Order: sequence, then structure tokens, then C-alpha cells
Amino acid sequence: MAKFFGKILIHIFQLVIAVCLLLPVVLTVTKATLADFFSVLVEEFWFYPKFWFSLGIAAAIGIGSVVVAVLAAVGLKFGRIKHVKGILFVLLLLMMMPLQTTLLPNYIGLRDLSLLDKTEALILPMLASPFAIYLMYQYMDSVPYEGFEAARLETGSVFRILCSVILPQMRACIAAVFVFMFAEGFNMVEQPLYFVKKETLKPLSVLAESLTSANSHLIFAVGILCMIPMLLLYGFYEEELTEGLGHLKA
Amino acid sequence: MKLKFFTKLKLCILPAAAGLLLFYFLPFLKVLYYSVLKGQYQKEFVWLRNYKNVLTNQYFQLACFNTLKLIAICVPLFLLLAILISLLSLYAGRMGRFVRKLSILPLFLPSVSVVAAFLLVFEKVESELPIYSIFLWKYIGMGVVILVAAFSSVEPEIYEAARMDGAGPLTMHAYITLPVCAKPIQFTMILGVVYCFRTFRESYLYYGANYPPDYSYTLQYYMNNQFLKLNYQSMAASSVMITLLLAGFVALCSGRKNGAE
Repeated sequence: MAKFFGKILIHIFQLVIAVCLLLPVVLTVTKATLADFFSVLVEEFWFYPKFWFSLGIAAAIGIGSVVVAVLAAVGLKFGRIKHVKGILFVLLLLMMMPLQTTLLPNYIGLRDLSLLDKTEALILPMLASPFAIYLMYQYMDSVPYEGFEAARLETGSVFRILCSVILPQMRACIAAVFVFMFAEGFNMVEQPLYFVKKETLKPLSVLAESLTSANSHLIFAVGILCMIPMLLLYGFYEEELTEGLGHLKA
Repeated sequence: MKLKFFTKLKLCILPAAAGLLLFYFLPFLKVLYYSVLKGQYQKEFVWLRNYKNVLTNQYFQLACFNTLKLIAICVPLFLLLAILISLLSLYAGRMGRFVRKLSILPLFLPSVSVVAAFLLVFEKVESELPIYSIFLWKYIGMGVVILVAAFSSVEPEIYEAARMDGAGPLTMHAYITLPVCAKPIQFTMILGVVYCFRTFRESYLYYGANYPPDYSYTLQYYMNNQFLKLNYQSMAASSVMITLLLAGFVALCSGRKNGAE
């Protein structure tokens, strides 16, 4: 009997948590009216260019950081590089740094390469993401690669080994890193504030507030429209996300 | 042939290394250099005067206090909630699986949408509660994912043996699950502290200003405002201090763990 009540209590607790997690999403949805959507999608001229610009940047960051992270992880895992543990520790530290402390180095780096006020300024610093590299390595380290030695005897081509032996094993982590970095890119607020001055280069995440300030109820419609790409990605890759992110450890 | 192959593999890290060098390590050296200069155009070496200025600045002190308060209140809550949710979700069958998946959703939602919703919930609240709730809501999934992975990898035989000896679920988890998973739990705590330094974006959009109410003025705001005021010396000095502090904290935590192994 006590066991039964325990089960019920646990389910109620989980239900409460689920409701708390969903509440903000549901609230946003209930606050937007069809008229708001109509005005954002049809009447307002700024929405589409900003939306596609934001999505483009996010996609570039997602794909680019996956490529960089996979290559780096392969090099670190199989390349017989010395002091891998030390490198990983530095990556861990870097991953733990708050954005505000890495923004100044990023800014100086961009300034010295004279990339400020360009689209690249928003993309390039995000590509070598310590988080992506670290997670990718951790994942790669936890999967066995019996095929690697055999494949190495067959071919000397890194590309072929990558495609036939390593990448198939990494699917979950690649999906997780892609979605995570895509979200980071789609969501960035500080980087555009610091790195670009032109209004045309600022993504939706920064401008949504000021663009809807004239009629502030539009923010909910914009919020929902911004959620759609993320909800789709999350819906497609939820298995991979939990599987990939679960490999994060010190 | 053999050597060439491994050289090629080594070269794979080049893009990442270049990115990290160009945007993190080399510029950080410059940040260090700026932090001991008098001004952007006055290349006069002033030792630690910038650091002293930052440390005695009243806004910096306020920011430090608020950040520490955020850590002291939110990190224990974050850890406790993450442990509770992940442990109980393993008993709740399909419902638990659903909650586990749902918990990481907030991580990926755009801040704009999130903040709009929280503004509705906390319309009239004038305290730091909204920011604390956003913090917990947004990052709890990361803790849950890591802890669920850890909890479900504990050998079932251990529980079996404990059950034979007549241990109830509470004793089992207190004496088996938590000690066995000490490492991931500690990592979750470190992440919690780190995320405290990250909750700027939501707060910034929530208050929509560079100067929020005093109780929400955290270190991130201080840094942000130094940057906007082009006060690179202060920003460099506080950047260096926060970097060293956090690096020390992370190193201390993970260092002790490695020693225990």
C-alpha cells in the first residue's frame, strides 16, 4: 500500500515538474492572437529578412562547429598527440568561462583581423567552440572503435576512415552538438551587441524587442515564430540530444 | 606511410587550434597586457592600479555580492532539484522518460520567447525571483541529463545485494547511488556555478536595460557596461580576475577528484 502511494506521489511530482517546464511555452502560445501573426507575417516588412538572416547564421554556426569539433576530436583521440589530458583540461576551463570574459578576447581577435561589423564576426568566433570539441571528444572516447586498426591497414586515407569507421558511430553526438550550437547561434544576444554596429547585421534575437516596441503584444507572435525552428530540431533529435549530452563529464 | 598517416590525423586539430588561438588565447594575452596599462592610448605601465580601481568600485562590489547571492541560493537548489527529478524520473516509467526529455527543451528555446513568457508570470514581482526562476528553468535539463546518465549506469547488482540485506529505497540511494555518483554530482555543481555567470542574456532582455534594479545587478552587467562605456582597462582587469577565479575553482574541484582516484 505504501509502495502504491509512493508511486502516485512520484508521478504527481513528475507531473508538476512537466507542467512547470511547459508553462512558459504554453503561456506564450495563448498570448498571441491570429491578428498578431497576420501583422507579423504579412504587414510587417522586417520579419522575413531578419528571420532568414538569423536562421542562416545559426545554420552556419551549427554546421561549421560540428565540422571543426569532429576534426579536433579525431585528431585528439587517434592522432597520438601528447598531453591530451592537459589540452582537455584547458578546453574544460575554457568551456566553463562565462561569455562576458570571453567576449573581450573575441572582440580583440576580430578587431585585429579587421572582421568587426561583418557577418563573419558573428560566425567565426563560435566555430571553435570549446564545448563542442570537449563533448565530441568525450563521446568519441566512450565508443569502442574496433574497426579503426583494421581500416588503418586497408587505407591511409583519413577521409575514408572518418566516413566509414568514425562518423557512423558519432551520429548522436553530432546531432546534439549541431542542435546545441544552432540554438546558441539563433539565440545570441551579446555577440551582435558588441561585434556589429550595422542594424542590418543584427539578428532577430537582438532586434525583436525594439522592433516590436511600437506594439508590444507582437513580441509573443515573434516569440512563437522563433520557437518553431528550435521545436522542430528538438522534435527530430530528442533521442540524440539526451544521448549526446549525457556523455558530458569532467 | 605510417608516420604520414598519424601526421594527417594530428593536422585535423588545426582548424580548432587556429580558432582557439585567434579568438581566445592570443587575445587573452592582450587582455592581460591591457589590464596593466593606464589607458587605451596611454601606454603607461601602472602595475595593478586598474585592479585596485575595479575592486574598490561600488558597482563592482554590488555586482560581486549579487553574483555570490545568486550562486549561494541557486546552485544548491539546482543540484537538489536535478537530483530529485532525475532519481524519481527513473521510477516513473513513461512519465519519467517524458519529463527527462522535456527538461532539456528550455536550453534550446530562444531567449526572446522565454523572457516574454516570464514577464507574464512575474508581472508584479519586484525581486530577484524571476531571474532565479529563469535560471533554474533553463538549466535544470543539463543537470538532469548528466545525472540520469550517471544514475542509470550504476550496476544493478549492487542494489540487488543491498535489497537482500533489507535496505529500503531511501537507504539504498543515500548510501549507494549518491556516493557512487559523487563525480557526476560534483560536475553538475560546477556547471551550476558556471551557469550562474551565464544568466545575463535573459536578465538583460527581462529588464530591457543596462542598469537593472540593484538586486539584479550582477557581474555580467558590470562587464557589459564597462564594455559599452569603452572602459577596456576595467573590463580587462575584471575579465582577468573572473577568469582566474573560475579557473581556480574548476581546477580545485576537478583536481581534488583526480587525486582521490
